[in-house]
Amino acid sequence: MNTSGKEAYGVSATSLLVDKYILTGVTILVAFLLVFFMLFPIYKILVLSFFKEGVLTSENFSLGNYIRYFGTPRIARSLYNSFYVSVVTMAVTTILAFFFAYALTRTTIRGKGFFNTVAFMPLIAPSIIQALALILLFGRNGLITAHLFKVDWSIYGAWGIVISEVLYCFPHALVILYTTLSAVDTRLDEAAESLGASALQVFWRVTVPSAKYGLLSAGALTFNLTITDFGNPVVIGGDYNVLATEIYAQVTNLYRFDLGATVSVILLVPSVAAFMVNYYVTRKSFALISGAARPFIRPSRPFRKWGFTIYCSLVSASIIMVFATVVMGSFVNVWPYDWSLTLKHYRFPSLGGYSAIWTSFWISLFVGFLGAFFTLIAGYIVEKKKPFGVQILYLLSVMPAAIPGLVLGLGYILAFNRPYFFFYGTPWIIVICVVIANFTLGTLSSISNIKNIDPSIEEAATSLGATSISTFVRLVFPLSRVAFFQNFVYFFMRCMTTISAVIFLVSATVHLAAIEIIWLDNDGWTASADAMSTCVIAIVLLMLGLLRLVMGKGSSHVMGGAGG
Amino acid sequence: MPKNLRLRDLTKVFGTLVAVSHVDLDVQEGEFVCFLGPSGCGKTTILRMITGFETPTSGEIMYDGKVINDLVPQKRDFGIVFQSYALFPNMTVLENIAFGLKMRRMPRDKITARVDEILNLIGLKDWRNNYPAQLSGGQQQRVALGRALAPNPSVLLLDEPLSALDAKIRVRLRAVIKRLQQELGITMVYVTHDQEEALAIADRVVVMEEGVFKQVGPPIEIYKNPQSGFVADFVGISNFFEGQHQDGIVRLKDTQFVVPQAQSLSDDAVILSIRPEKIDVLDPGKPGKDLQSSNIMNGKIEVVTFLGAVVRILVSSANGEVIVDMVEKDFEQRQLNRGDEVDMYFPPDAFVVYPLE
Amino acid sequence: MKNTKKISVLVTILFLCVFLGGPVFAAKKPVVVYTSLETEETVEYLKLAEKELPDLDIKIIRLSTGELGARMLAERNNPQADLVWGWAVTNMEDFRDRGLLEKYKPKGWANIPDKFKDPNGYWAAIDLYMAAFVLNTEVMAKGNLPKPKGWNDLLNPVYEGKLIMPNPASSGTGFLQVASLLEMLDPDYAKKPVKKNTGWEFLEKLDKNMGQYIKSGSKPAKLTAAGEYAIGCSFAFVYSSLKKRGSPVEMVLPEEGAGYELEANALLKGAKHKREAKKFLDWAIGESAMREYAKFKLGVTLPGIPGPADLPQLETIKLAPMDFPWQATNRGEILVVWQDKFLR
Ligand SMILES: Nc1ncnc2c1ncn2[C@@H]1O[C@H](COP(=O)(O)OP(=O)(O)O)[C@@H](O)[C@H]1O
Ligand SMILES: [Mg+2]
Repeated sequence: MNTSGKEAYGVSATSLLVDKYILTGVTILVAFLLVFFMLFPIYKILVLSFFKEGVLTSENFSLGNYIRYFGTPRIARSLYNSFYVSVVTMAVTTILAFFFAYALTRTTIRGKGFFNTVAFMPLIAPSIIQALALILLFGRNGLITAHLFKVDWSIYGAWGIVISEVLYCFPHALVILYTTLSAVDTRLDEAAESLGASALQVFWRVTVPSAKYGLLSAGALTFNLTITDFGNPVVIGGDYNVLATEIYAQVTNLYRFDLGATVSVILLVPSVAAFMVNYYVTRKSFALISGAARPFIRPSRPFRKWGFTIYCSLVSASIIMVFATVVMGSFVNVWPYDWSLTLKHYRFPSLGGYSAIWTSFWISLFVGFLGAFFTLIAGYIVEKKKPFGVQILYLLSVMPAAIPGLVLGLGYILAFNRPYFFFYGTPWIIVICVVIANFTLGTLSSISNIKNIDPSIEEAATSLGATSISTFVRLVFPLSRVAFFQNFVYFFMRCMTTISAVIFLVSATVHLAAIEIIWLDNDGWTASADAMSTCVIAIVLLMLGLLRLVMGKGSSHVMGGAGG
Repeated sequence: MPKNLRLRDLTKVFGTLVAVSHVDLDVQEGEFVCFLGPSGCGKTTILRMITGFETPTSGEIMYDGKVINDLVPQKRDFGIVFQSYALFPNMTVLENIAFGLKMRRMPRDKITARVDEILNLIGLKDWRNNYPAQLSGGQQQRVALGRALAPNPSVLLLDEPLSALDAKIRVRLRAVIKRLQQELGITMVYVTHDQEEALAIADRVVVMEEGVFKQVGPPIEIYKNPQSGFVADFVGISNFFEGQHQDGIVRLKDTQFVVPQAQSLSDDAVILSIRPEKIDVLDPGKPGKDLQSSNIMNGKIEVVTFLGAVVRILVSSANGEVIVDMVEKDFEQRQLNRGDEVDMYFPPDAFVVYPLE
Repeated sequence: MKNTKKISVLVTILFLCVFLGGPVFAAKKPVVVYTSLETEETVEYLKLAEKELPDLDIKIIRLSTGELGARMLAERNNPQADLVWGWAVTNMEDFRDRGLLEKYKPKGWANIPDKFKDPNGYWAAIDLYMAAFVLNTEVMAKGNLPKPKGWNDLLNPVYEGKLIMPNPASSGTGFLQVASLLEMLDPDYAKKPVKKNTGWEFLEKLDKNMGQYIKSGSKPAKLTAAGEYAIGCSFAFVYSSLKKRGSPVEMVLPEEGAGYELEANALLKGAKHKREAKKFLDWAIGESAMREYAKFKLGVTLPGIPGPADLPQLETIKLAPMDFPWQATNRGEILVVWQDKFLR
């Protein structure tokens, strides 16, 4: 039996020596990247807001910027405005998404697959398409306001922001509520009903309380997304000033980087708070999820079924309307006067044009791969390897969700605009910024995937002589490839569509499609902005389709997201 | 010189919990040692310390005369089989088995030869190109066994390898493992909470409770001479009686037993234990010839359970409930029923006596 | 599970594509240009530039006047651009004083009249663009609105909510409109603090009619053309491009005097491609470039080139007295006062 002479073949000593340090090395590398590309820029912003000229000495310390902020009623109002739209959006979105999720999980309406798909459509488009569509429909010269009802009313301002943010945040809130409601045992409801409670009582006393963590978490996420969003307010906000647009205005109009930094810090406070609520609640809600959740649902009574079908149809119709309007807007000659079809808006009157789409595409591919790769490694280290100080790494990995994209972008200018940071002004800074800005969700989804890998599989590999690297390459990576590709799509999508994180970073050499949309709209080329949006949507859809083709069904379902 | 595995005063503490407490053991080369104990008693922890996935808090693990506490798992050259099989789902049977060989950079042709050898050994030649998900539980565990054996480890460690399988396959695979061990002459350390399995398979059984070794010995020894109530209770089934001992006689609540071996104890308060199959059910009105009349007790049959070759009856008596195993044939002849009154005989030398703790 | 191989092949191919299909290094020498010229005209000028400067790889970004300034300031320690092309002189003067510009007198410097260039050679203007009202004739007719002649007419309450003008903080056009009003309405503007200027009273009255202050200078005209507003305070050249496209628009130059702004070029301090930048700057005040500018602009700084046929000739227009040095010094202050008064 001992024919194979085991003495001759052993695990190589050098690879084991490397193995001893590789984990520490990689952990430190990932932590370093996060500190350097996330905390360092934020640190720069803090310093600039609290110290004159951004020079860190005790005599330079000053609250002058904050005094000026709160002492100028107009600027200070941006804080109130931000809270106002965020709170209203939070309430509306959470309620809308809750009933939608309820319909999908607790009733037997038909067309759930369709409703589900439609609900997630906003994720594939730049966040501003909501605003673009609303202006075409409800602007001062909107199809519905000016031409259908002939009213002199327009959507610019707080209402425009709220409505577009609701549409934009809807899928994000829905993911959470859908998960919560499908995780709670429906027999709870039935038990209550059998005890004589009325349907309404069951709903208020059982269903809603059992989903309370989901509601809180969805609310916090919506609040965070809204308060940090830049695209929608800048397009549809009109004169209505919110924190994100105020940061941009302070920096670009008045060259007041210090005030921009100050407003950034003020914006960081609520967004970090919302993040903490979400973080805390998400941890809690795991306890509520019982394994006994039952997919079977009793057939709903007709009036209930119809009610929810109509409700879901209305919500879906609004979302479809946004997309249809933008796509239509890009093809008609002069909205809303001349409906003849044309391709002229696709000859982009901009310097970027198609090359911007192309650049966006390549950069997004890089972001997709690097983002998926690094979040997988971070997830692996956090979930499986748990080296010394793993809590710090975890915190660093989930923190980006708390940082508004615009603030991160501003931080990048402040921190990295030095001759020795060779990557500044190249596409790499955009790649890095987008990867970091979306790190949270990528890591969380990696973690939840890696959790499913039986720990003994790795131990089996180790005992068979595999080093950490070969275990990762041969097992962890292949076993989490679905998560990897989901994350790839997620990062790709975010990079194609994100505005706030990169608006400060695009340059003469790097034009991005999502930013071109803003500029086109700014210059009054609304139809071409619609056309550019349509191109972005098409590319994202193409990528989703391609991935579904390669991966088989069910893998391209990417949900959730954070950051504006 | 034989390569022995030794545990020296081995201790593992998790926070405040002492999972393994000062244990010593010598495992001879080629020996089959089985750790037996209830869930949570520290069996897995010992195994993981041997494999190198946990570091001992104190004490030493030695192999071949060398302390290996700080040796990385890859260098220990021990094979492991897990309860959950832990097969690599993204690899075929063949690739699973070849994995350890690849990691050792064995040349390709040698790997092929070795994998064939292993496939024959575990009898899964025709399944080589299947993925684990396409195999039954029993087959998967055989692949896991083959995978662990492929690099020719000096020690094979198995952590409850059969507990996830159903009874029939469990018994069959048990035989496979035993046969492999004997053919290959490999040292095996086997963990289980199933006393029957432990007794059936091991050369030596280590009974554990709360991180300490309660008794170490060959299966027969453990079964026949449990040195504590815990062992008697955990290994097989026992009836226990509390009583006062005086001059070879133990007084119970309602009766008394002659137990000569109790005299070796200094304590007055004792516990008697007796295996169910040692108790005789007497024919009514026909007391046996040379029986100690004092060791007979009367009771009423409460429950009858058929266990195949034996029938287990639960008898309620003035001294509590007594479990008695009868050979099925006897039971049938006597035509016993629930509610019947029976006399039970407790042979004096069948008792094991412990002091009341 | 067999997919794994397929996927790794795919991944490899994708990465290869990325590296091979990525930026192909051309023999051309790069020059990085910042501009605030309108995108529409820039596209045309660039076509010419690429023809006449074949060895330059012109990398360009177009941002609004304010955005561009912010960017240059942010990058002052590590300039990303080599030159700025067609940027408001008000800002130029400010940036010269902040030390961001480098002296360079391009070829043909002598041909530019002195009033259109910095005496020390920091910048040279190429054109002049002018504030103008763009009216949507359909909206005007529908609302039965009188046609305004100048700024004063805009105070008429019939226009309430139907006017739109650029936000001076982000738009150069908006700034020149506000600055021209402050200078025209207060003869003592230079002697008192900006806050005390009597022009603000007019602007406050105007605010009552203003539907929106918008970020870009061309957008008021475009939104008006699209029928969203009746009158957009914008600039002249956007009117002619809208007219060409068939929008129902008409242009009015304010009778009180039209505010205007010079747009100039300058070399940036720390330019990484100085030689190429100079080449571009030489071209940018050359005759062929000027002729191209003149297709869009009311007036160019090279004498003897007529403006576009569809716009009134420069000589016939009453210009507001524009005090660029004062504007440059007080730009920040003007914007702060304006924002505090008019932004909600
Ligand atoms: N990594 C660990 N951290 C803390 N406690 C542990 C850990 N591993 C095991 N334990 C505890 O040590 C005790 C022994 O565990 P284990 O060896 O797995 O028992 P067994 O395998 O005998 O069921 C248990 O109480 C268990 O909860
Ligand atoms: Mg165990």
